[in-house]
Amino acid sequence: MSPSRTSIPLALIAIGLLALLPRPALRGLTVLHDPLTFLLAPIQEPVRKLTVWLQGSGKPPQSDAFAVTPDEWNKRLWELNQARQEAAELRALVKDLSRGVDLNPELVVRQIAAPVIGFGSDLSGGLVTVRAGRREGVEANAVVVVRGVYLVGRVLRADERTCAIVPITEPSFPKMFRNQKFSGVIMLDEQRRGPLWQLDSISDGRLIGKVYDVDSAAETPLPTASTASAGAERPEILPGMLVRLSDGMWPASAQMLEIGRVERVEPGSYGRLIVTIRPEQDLSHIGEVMIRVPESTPVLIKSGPPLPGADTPAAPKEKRKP
Amino acid sequence: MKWPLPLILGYLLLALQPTVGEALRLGHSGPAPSIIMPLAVFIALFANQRAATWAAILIGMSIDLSTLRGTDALVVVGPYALGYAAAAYFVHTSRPMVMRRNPLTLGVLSIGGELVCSVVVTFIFAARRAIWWGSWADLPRHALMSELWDRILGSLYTGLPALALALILFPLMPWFGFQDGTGRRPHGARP
Repeated sequence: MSPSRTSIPLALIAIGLLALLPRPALRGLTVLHDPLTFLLAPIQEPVRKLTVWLQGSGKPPQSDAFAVTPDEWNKRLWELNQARQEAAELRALVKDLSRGVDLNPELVVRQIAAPVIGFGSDLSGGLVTVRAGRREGVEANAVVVVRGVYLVGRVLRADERTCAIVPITEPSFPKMFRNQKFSGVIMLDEQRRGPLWQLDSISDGRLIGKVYDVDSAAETPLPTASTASAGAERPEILPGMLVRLSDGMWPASAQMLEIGRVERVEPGSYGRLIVTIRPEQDLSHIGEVMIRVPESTPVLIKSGPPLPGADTPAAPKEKRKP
Repeated sequence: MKWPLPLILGYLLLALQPTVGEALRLGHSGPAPSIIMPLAVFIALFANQRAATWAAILIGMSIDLSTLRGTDALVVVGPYALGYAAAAYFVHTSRPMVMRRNPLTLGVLSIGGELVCSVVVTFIFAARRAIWWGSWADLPRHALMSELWDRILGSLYTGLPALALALILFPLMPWFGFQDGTGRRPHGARP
């Protein structure tokens, strides 16, 4: 048999063996992903921007110079809510300090704007590639937002020029981050926090979770069936209510970011409500994201709680990608 | 077959696939078509088997390398390379039974090729799940049958962009430099 006749069968056998390699052996092959993505980016980026523009990116129209745009309003609301959350945490911290607990330094964050390149040619991969990587200071587990306040995902892995993001709507999101099902707080109005919500499952781009009793730091406790029968005021959870991130396992600077809005409320077992959340932003319709990266110099709490608007996580510095 | 044009078209379609595929997706997690498979089918329809197989392997391997999977965001090289090679074989063996120059043929065979590719890809990932366990195992996003069903629906959807791509590929045929697959040279060419 001539070499030309055996080349294809040999190639297919070699590829078959490659296809069955275990995960640890795949790391060496994954180095080829970054240069290929770099080659495809010049076409993917402008096409993605065009597609997002055609689909309508949802950007608010320009208002007159004296009015606040919805984006600015949302950002200020987020800063206010985060400051209130931080105040609640500081109250708890003061309590712990009296028992000798170490201080945790708060880090200032900077935001790196990065274009979304795509999902990979096999759309079932589930991960989104963004054109920002270690060169720009992106690290694994960094929080990814859109327009500064809308939470869309976390960085799973950062290469030299690109990074892989897991959207929060990805069904395997909790498994990707050590089975952590993140939690949030349902806002009864723009400033009043309601009960806690914890993620249970993700399906068809929706986040499904249960509502739990809040701790003493919350403003409005969720009554259980017994207190409800005692005539206590029951905060009603309605579709359209905003849900913000409130999870100690996430960075302090990410607290109170917007997860989405309540889409459906259903009764669940043991009297708990099951709340379905629709994220405000969908990565598949976004052309650019912001990756929040901690600054290298921590801001210590010892000097007193920083005021909003200063160098605090509530007012992150914005650094545009060159 | 002359390789420059297929390579350029493959590069363009590979770059466009994530964005266009997502834009054409039905619903948030519904089926999405492949716009690369029609190119592989087109090549398999008119090129000799050897060139068609290598083109399919190259296209499939590019898809594998451009897609990150699992908790470690790793690439798995092989499933789509083998899937596309199987699709090219399917198309090549179907050639005597079809009217090759009909755009509808490209649409129908793209559906068939994508179906074959989907089965092969799903089988390979199922084999990986069966062989490896613990920290060496893949993280499954969905149940196997659910994944296969999604891919089958995507395959059916692939026929539509294939018809659109036929309007581009057929006029470009002279630049592909196809020789007749039976080994005969084009009319007037010297042996």
